[in-house]
Amino acid sequence: MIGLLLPLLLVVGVVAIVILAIQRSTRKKDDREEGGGADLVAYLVLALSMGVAGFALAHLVSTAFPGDRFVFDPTENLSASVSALVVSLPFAVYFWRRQAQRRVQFPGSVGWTLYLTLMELVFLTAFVVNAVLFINGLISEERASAWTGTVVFGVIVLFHELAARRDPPQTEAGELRRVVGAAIGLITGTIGLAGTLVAGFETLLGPGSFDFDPWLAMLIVGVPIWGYRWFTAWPGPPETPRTVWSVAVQVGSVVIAIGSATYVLAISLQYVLADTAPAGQHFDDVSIALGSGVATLAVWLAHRRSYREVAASPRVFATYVLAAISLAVAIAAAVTLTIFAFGNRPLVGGDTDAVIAAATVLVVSLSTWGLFGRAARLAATTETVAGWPRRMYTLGLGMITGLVAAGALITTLVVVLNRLLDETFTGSLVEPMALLLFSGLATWYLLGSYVRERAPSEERRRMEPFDVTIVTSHPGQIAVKFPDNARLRVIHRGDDLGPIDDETADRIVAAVDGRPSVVWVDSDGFRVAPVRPRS
Amino acid sequence: MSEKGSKIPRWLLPAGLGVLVVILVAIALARGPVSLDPETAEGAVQEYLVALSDERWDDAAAVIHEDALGDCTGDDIAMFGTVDFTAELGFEGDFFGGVGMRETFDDGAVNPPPGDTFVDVTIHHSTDGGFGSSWSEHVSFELLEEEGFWWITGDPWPYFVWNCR
Repeated sequence: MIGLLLPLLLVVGVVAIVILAIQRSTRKKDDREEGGGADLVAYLVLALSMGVAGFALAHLVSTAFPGDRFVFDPTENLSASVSALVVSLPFAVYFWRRQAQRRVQFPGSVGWTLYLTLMELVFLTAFVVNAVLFINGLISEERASAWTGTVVFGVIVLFHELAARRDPPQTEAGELRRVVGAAIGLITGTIGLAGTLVAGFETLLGPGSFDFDPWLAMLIVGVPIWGYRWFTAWPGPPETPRTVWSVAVQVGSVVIAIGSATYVLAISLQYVLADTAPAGQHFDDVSIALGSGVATLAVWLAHRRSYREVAASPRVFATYVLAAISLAVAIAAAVTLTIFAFGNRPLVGGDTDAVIAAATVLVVSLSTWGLFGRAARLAATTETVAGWPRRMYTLGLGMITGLVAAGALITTLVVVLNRLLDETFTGSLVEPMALLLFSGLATWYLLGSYVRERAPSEERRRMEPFDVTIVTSHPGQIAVKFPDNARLRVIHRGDDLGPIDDETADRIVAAVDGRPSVVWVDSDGFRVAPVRPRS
Repeated sequence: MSEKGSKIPRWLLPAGLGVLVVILVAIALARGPVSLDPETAEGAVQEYLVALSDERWDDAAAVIHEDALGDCTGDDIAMFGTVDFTAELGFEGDFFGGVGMRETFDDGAVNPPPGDTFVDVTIHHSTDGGFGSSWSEHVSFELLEEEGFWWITGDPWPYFVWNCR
């Protein structure tokens, strides 16, 4: 009896001490501030206790319905899950109710947003894993398992979904939970779609050795979750979480789709131009590339509409990221091709396949670099002149390629000095020099663009508004002689010493030349004094 | 690429890059294997490696000294041999001198003992037409000159003699 009572008292004591400590801490903070972030610790305790309780409950239910276990030890399972539940459940219940009351008092709680996001991440992932296992068992010859986990984690996800609907997070990052849920669904669904397509292509083109089973289950589970989380109406325009995820999906899907297409193009060229293995063997992996490419293309298409809702600067940034990735790949491919062209001549064979692969990658990456760079530059000119995405691209990427070039220069010098000092040294200069050349060229281009764009061009200066103050007896037609971006102010002097005729007006406009100025006109002609532009 | 008013024409960069790609590809494809004199140590190693690459296992065995070959035959080489490789002289990619990459010899020294002849070769393996995994290994072939010919001796790559000698 005492043996049972002591652990129970211990549990109650620990629960009471934690609750009291948090109550005291929160009361002190509430005295100092408005609440808001004061209850982060309480939400952390709630998240931990909810996590432990959720997994313990799933364990307990699977112990009660042991059909999905090969190895089963009910006593050990029962004691572990009941112990975890006994400790975690009081915390979970107490803090759930407490925080619900505090949300009425402090509705803009960051802790609530973070808590819901964490629960989404943990329990939706657990639900997806169990649901995939369960559905895979239903559609394949494998035994259907994990139904207990599917039910328990599904109920916990539903419980939090209802709570979030009843009491939506009101912070700027309020959409974080939905974005995390959409990401879990999208990643699962995309892998499932790619795998299903690969299995389909294998059935059509190859021996059909690729199974549909796990991929179809991932597709069935992932797509509805993603659709529900992503396509249900959002309360407002995209905040940071949705913007970041949209940019990541855009960049990731385009990169994988282009990579897959490049692979298919390269192995087709190898088959046509080089002495390769028979078609069945050479195109053995083409279904993986086709499946991945089509799946990511579908993701890109499905996200196009929501991506357009993102603000201009992040979209320009995404295009610059694609240009940067293309440039990095182009540098790597150019270095590889240079090594094939100028490295040691082989003793055995020439790797024609690898040369074709490197050349294809180089041509594709240079083309995409040009296309994405141009698209981003056009967007930056019209929407965000000299904006941060362009600066990050030219300056940030230029610094990275510059560091690579510096590393290559050091390696080149090491090889040169070793060769001078040690006659037996055989280290090659081709690799470091090729890297130095191509990363150096990229640095020169990027940093050159940055410096050029920082200096205001003559054309841009002429487009900017400027102030002109004219002191005269009569302005005549000078107002229509100045360009539209001139902000003209005329001060009538009240005498008849300097009226402006058409010829004088033309000469004044030419002398001002688009610069902020004060012009004095009298019987001796006119004088122009430049003034500091208004900031 | 260039700002308005810049003297560099816009077409220059893509055209230059295009020409560069064409030149690199042409040179890379035009370069065949180096042709070494078979009466040199390096030439003997090339003869051995070309025979392996062409799956002429008996011809490869013929370059190995009889003391090293023992009872081994071309069939024994075939059990361990691979044909999907390229090779070049020297330890390629060895920018910093290769200490630690060379094999350690019987006396524990990193460099070969004086009097023996070693030919350093880098063997490249790649899969999936240049898109799959690729790796290189540094191999030192030990050779001895006898009756005007260079013979491969020791335990040459692909290290098969332990199975039959």
